[in-house]
Amino acid sequence: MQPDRRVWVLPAVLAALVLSIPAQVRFASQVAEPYPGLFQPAFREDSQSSDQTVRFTIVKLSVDGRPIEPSDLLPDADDTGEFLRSVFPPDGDEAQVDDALRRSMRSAVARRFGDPGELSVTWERRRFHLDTVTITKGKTLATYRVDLRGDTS
Amino acid sequence: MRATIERIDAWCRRGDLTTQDIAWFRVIYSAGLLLSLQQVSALSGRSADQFDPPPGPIMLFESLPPHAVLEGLEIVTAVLAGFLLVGLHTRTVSILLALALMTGFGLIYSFGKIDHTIVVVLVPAMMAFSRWGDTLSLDAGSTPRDAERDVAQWPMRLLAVMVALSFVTAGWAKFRSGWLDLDTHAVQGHFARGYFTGGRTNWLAPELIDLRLGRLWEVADWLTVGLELGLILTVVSWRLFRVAVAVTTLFHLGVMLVINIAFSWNLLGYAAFYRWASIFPPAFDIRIRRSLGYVVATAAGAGMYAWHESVGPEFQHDVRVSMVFFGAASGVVYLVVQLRRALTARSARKR
Repeated sequence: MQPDRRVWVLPAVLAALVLSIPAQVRFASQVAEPYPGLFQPAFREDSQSSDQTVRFTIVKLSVDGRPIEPSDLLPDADDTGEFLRSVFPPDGDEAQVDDALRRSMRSAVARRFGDPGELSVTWERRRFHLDTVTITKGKTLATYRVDLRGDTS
Repeated sequence: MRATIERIDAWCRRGDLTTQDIAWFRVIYSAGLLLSLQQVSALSGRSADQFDPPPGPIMLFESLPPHAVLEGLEIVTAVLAGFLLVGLHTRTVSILLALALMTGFGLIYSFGKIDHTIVVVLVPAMMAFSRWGDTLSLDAGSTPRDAERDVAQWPMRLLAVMVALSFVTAGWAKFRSGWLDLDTHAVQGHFARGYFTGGRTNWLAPELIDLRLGRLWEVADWLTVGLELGLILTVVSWRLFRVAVAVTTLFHLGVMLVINIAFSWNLLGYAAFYRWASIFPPAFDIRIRRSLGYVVATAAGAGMYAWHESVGPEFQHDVRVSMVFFGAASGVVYLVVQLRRALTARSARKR
């Protein structure tokens, strides 16, 4: 009896693994990607439309009219882009700047450029044309002005 | 039916890896893990509102655990890797390490993005059932092992199948989303998006962004999908699979040089499939007092944890980049050796 049972085990595990793949793929597409799961990067969101362009947003930062880099504003953030998106949503929603963040941004900018007044954050759409490898400017999505000594508008 | 099942069972158990091969792999894997420990405690800086675990066991966490718990998880993971390095309680430690890694990665992925490091979690989970602690270990030094007993090959075979299946899901998603459409250049699109918005402007990226290489980018799309969907076909034979995995290491090198993503965790897992004893010296048993072994293993893990805390994430980045280069170099050497063997065998047949 025992040898027979053992012969079945590995093929059964193998079959379960193979059969789980369509189930995992379906679950990922209809609900969300599970973890743990047998997945590698799919990059499905990067397929382009037939106009051969990649659309993306860029953020422009300036303090009192002087352009600055995200790292000047948020030197301690791991991912400045993600952080800026969460604090200043590109869709024009309300900015999430509390007093602690304002103080932190102000001292970071002050260290490099002197006492700052107004921070301007602008999200703009861009198009990169894959065939001509050129960039064209799109519309401005949102603009935030933050008084680093006062209120956010 | 019965004959088919017996053939599949025999196939799962077929292989040529020895206790020495997998013992050396255990050392490579645990050393690689200690050099690139996951940074779970960095999560405590994230907003609690953003905690949204993916479907799975991490949903058991109602909120992100406190900083001390996250730091504890990092230390436990490092110490378990230290135990695995010296081969102490290897089987139990392997399973605990898989659970610790899965928990750590799961918590990291609870903030919106899954980075697909499943291979590095699967390795200790599967290898726990192999005999990778039977030599070059404290376990072997304290308890005599039966050197004549065959190595169970099925854990490595199932690991190979799981690696290949994980690539099938990725290749299938790409296939379904139009990567093979001649009018789109998915690799170029991802490359451009990362270049302009993700700060991925290193290595070959600045040289390639302005080049009009439409057909070449399309070839890259097809090769990527072909490699990811084709890996499962090679799993039938160890020789084919090893060649395919060696090619995959070059794929990862290309991804790093162009798209600037160092996918080192996979490369650490791929090492499970190679015969390391053919290039390393004969494995040996570590004969020191077991109590001293606990101290050494804990010191190795805790020491590496402290080292990571002091040097910061740039060190980890450098380690991951080095792993990709080392993996690709190993892949090239393997392919050259296989090619030479094939040519030698061919000329011998002619004679």
